[in-house]
Amino acid sequence: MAEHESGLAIDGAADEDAAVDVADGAVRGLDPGFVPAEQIGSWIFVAVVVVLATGGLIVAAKAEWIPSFWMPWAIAAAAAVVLLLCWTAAFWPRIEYRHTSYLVSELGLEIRKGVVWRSRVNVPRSRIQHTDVSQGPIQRRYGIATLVVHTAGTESSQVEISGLPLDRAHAIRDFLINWGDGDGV
Amino acid sequence: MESDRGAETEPESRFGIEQRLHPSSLLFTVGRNIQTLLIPGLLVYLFSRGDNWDVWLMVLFVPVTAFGIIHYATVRYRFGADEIVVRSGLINRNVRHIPFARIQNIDLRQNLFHRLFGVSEVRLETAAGSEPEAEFKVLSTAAVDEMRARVFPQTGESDVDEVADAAPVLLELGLDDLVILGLIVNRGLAMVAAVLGIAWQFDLLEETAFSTWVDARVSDMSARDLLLLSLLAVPVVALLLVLLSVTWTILRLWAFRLVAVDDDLRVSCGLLTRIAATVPRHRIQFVTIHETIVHRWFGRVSLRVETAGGGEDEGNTNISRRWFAPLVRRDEALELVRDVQPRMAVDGVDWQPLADGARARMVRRAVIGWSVVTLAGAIVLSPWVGLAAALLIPFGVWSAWRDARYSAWAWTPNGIAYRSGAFTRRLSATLFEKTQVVALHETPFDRRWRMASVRVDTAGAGPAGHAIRVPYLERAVAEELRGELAVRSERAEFRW
Repeated sequence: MAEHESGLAIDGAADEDAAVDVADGAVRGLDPGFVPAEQIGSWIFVAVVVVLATGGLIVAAKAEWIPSFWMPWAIAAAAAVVLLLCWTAAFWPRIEYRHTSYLVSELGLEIRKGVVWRSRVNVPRSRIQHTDVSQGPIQRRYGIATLVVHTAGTESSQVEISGLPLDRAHAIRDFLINWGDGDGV
Repeated sequence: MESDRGAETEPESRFGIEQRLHPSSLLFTVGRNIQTLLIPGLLVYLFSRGDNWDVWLMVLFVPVTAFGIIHYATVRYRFGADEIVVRSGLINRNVRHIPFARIQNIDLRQNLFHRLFGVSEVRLETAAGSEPEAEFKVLSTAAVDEMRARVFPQTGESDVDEVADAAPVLLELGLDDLVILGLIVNRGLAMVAAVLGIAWQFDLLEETAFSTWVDARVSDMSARDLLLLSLLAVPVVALLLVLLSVTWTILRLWAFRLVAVDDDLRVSCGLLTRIAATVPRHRIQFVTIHETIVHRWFGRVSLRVETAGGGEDEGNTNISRRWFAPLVRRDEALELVRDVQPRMAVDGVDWQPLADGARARMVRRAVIGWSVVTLAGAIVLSPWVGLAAALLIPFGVWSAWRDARYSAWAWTPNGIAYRSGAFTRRLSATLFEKTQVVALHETPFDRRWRMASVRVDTAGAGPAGHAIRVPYLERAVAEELRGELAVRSERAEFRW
C-alpha cells in the first residue's frame, strides 16, 4: 500500500497499483476538508458583501438616493440578506458535502451532485479530451483540489468536482487519461 | 526526396513552388473594409442628427486596409508531398504545416464579384478545433482545382458549379420547392426587423419628410377610412413579407444540391453567392427531422445536422447544418436520413413513451405558466392583456397534451432517438459513438413524482434546435437509460 505515495510524482505518472486502485467503482464522498475550505471561502465572500453593503448604504444615505423614511427598511433588507449569506456560509458546505459523491471505474467518471436540483453525470473514459487538477490557496491549506474533465460536448464540455484529496485527484486524472491508444480523435 | 514524388505526378506541376493569393484579393479586402467600415460611417454622417460612434469607424478604414494589403502580400503557400505549407505575416511571421490527411474538406464561397474574376474564398477545415486550419481570400479557380487534386487525389472535382455527375444526388430543390420553403421559413419578418433595426440605429426613423406627410394624411382621415386602410394594409403587408421571404430563399438556396461522394456529403447552392460545402459523413454528430405546422400543410419536413470540428463561418456553417436538407417530402425523409448516415436510421424503432404522470405534469405546468403570465399581464399592463392571456390557457393545455402524447424515446441499432413537440415537432437521433456525456437530472418536482430526465450531450450542439433531453421518465427507467447509455458510449469509440 506504500505504492500509493509514488503516485504523487509531480509529472503525474502514477504507477499501476495506484491507478487501478482508484478505479474500483466504489462510490466515494469528498474529502472532509472540503467543508472548512468552502466555509472559509464563503465567509470571505460574506465579509466583502458586508463591506460593500455598508459602504453602499452610507453613500446612499449621504447622497439621499434613499429617502430617510425608507432607510430603516433598506438597512433591514440588507441585514436580512447578510444573515442569509451567513447561514449559507456556515451550513451549506456541510449540506453540499453530504450530497456530493463520485465513482471512478473502467467505464469512466460518474459525479453525483446537487442538493435540491440533483444530477448524475457520466463521462465515458474515452470521451475525455484533457483534464485539469487545480487548487486555490484555501484548498491548498486543506490538501484538496478540483478536478475538471474536458470533453467534446457542448453543454458538458467541462465537468468538474471540487473537494477531492489532492493525491486521489492526481490518481484519478492519471487513470482517466491513460485509457488507451489515442486521443479520442 | 519529396521533389521526386512530385515530379512523377505532373511534370508541369507547381510542386514545391510558393504561390500567392490571387491579385484580386486586394480588391476584395478593400471592398470588405468599405462595406464594414466606410458605409456605416457614411450612413451616419449623411443621415444622423446627432453624434454616433460609427463615424469614428471610418477612421479605422485606412489602418485596417493597410493591414489587409500587407497580409495579402505576405501569404504564400506551397505543396509538399503530403502537406501544404502556408506562410503569412510580416511582423509576426507564421509558418503552418497542414498534412493532407488532416484536411477534412475544402469549402468554397463565391459571390457575384468573385465569379466575375473567376476566384473564390477557400477554407480548409480539419478534424478538430473551432477555427479553419487555413483560409484563403481569394484563390483562382485553377488554384483551387490544383489544391483539390493534391489534397484529395482520389476524388476529382472541378469548380464550384460542377459536382461529380456520377455521384448520387440525395436532394435537389427546384423553384417550386424554394417557393414553398420561402413560405415556410418566413424570412420576411426577420429581414424587415433587421432593416428597421439598422434604420433605428442610424436615427433614420426620426422626423423625416415622409413621416410628417404620413402623419398629416392619417390625421385627415375619418375613422372609417382608417379602418378600411388598416384592413387593406394587412394582406398587402403579408404579401410583401412572403415575397421577401421567397426572394431570400431563392437567392440563398438556388439550385440546391445534396450529393454523396464516397464518405462525404456535398452541398452546393446559391444564386448570387455560390457556396460549396462538404460534410464528411463521420463528422455528423446529430440529426434532426424538423417539422412545423406550415411544413405539414405542404407534406414536407426539413433535415438538420450537427457536425463537429470545423470553422464557425456563418455562411457555410448555416448551409451545411441548419439548411442541410431544407425541404424533403415527408415520406422520403426517413430514407434520406438513411442515405445521409445509415447508422442513424430511425425507421421502425420501438418508441417508448414518457412516464404515465408526464401528461398531467406537462398540462399542470402549462396552466401554471400561463396563469402567471395572465396575472403579470393583468397587473403590470392592463386587465385586457390579462384577459387575452387567460384565453390562451386552453391552448396551452392543448399544446401540452399533444406534446405529452407525441414525446417518446427509442433505442436505434447504433444509438438513441428522441422525438418531442406539440405543433412544431422534432425527431432527433445520435449514435453511441457520438455521445459525449450522459447526465440524469432530477428537479425537486421530479423527486415528488419519482421521475427524472436524461440528457445526452454531443459535440457541436445547437444548429438543430433540439437535443436528446428526455424529460418525465420514471426514475427506474431513467436510471437504466443512463446506465445503458454510459456503457454503450464507452464501448463505442469516438472519432471526430
